[in-house]
Amino acid sequence: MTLRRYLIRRVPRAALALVLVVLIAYLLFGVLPRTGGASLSGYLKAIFVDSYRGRGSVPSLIVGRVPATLSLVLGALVMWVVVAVPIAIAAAVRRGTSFDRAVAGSMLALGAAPAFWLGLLGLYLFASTVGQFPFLPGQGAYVGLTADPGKWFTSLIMPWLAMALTQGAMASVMLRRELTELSQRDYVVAASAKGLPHRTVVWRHAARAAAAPTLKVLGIELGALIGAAVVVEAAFSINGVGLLVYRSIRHDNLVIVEGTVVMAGLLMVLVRLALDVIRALVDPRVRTT
Amino acid sequence: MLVIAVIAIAAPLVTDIFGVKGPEVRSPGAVSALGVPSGPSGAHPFGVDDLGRDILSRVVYGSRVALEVGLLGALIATLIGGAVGVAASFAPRWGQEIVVAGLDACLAVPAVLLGVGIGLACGAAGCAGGVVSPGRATAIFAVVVAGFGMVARIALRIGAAAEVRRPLVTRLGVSALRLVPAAILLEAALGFLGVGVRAPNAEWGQMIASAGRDIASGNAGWWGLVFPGLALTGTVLAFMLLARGIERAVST
Repeated sequence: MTLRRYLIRRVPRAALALVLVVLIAYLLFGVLPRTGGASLSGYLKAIFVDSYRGRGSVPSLIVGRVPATLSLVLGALVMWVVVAVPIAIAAAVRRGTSFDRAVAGSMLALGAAPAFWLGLLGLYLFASTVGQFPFLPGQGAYVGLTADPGKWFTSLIMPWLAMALTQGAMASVMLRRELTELSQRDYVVAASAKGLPHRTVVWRHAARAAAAPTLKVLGIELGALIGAAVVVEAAFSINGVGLLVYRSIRHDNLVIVEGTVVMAGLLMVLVRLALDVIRALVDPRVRTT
Repeated sequence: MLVIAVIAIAAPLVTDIFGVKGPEVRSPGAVSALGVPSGPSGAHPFGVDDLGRDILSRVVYGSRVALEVGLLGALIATLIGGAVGVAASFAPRWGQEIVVAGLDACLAVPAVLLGVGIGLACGAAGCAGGVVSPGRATAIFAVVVAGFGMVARIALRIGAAAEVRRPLVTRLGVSALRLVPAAILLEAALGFLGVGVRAPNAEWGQMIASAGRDIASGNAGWWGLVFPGLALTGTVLAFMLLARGIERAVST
């Protein structure tokens, strides 16, 4: 299938999904909990336009906090791509060896741990405020990147680790499954048989084939990463979208949570569409599915 | 895995064996005058929380919530998802496109956010005309809404033609198993954030949240943080390994 035909199929589906995100949110939060319920237009106006208790519209409340959440998610993502993806590829190539088994085991164990728990353990151990071995900034230490880059970085080390170790491990488990047959593919076997050094086999041949599966896992995992950002922001008092949601729970502000749900859903549909298109560009085999 | 199930079912017996009090019983003597909870001791092997409640007992009772929400949530999500997917596989092509887009929409919203929304919407007075009551049912409902899309996609891809009926059932069974650890983690995250199962019911996520507050305020009690977290991680890991083992067994 040509790329153009792939787009003709994929883009309308995403457009339809955008509409359905709003409709499903309306059904779940506007109709189901209440008898009677608001009209769709009234519902949309409440979560997109109306000023919330004089603090501005819900989207404006969210947008102001996006930089903090973005710092968190992107940083954790960079950690995952730089550390975990190469490990997962290396393990997949050496499938069945003790290295592969050790990687798989530790990934699974880390993936089973919740990010907020690991974050709080980190605070208990290393936070400069209450830690047993204080050397990293603790709760509420986050400052914007533009305000103080050094502080921004150090305050995010523990939150990044909490997210990358748990969600990253989960993603690596998935990636390893996607790469399962990698070590048996003809061209990998042929490359090894040619006597190429192991490193060349991994980076020249296996890594290229792993690009599309990595993007696929990324698309699935991004939602979980945003979810982890919510709990990690709550644990570390980072003033991002997650903390806004957390505070909204405390104050029972359903409207703000609904707005966040809808906006996150719309954003994720677009991001997944973008990832799918990149995937189809990188790997022509994707276009047939 | 089996051990966890036995502990959950026989929770009152387990707490009796260890000679600790019930999950909601407060022991004022175990908290200092300044409200600092005491650590592990003979009377309270895992220590007590800020209200003087025995942590071992609460960890044991917390397993009931985790298993109930995890197993029931995964089961209902699989049944609904399987039904939706199979029904859609009979639909004409344009109908399938709409269903796929709808599933894309459901899966686009991060599960934790969806759960928080449902928890807030249904947590006060229930929803869906009383079918979903506040508390555990709300947490289960959140798990179902967040999880059924994945199953429906698989069912739709396989279809329901007679020759694939057995592989379909196997795949659905495997995906039900794989949903369980995810459901337990989601439920704990919701508890941590303060929606879903409500106090004073013992629930691991809430226990971790309250221990976190104690640590932040300087009443450092590692025991309040470590034990429920280990129980949660261990339970999730056990179900992950079970799902993997069974998946491997049926795929060969």
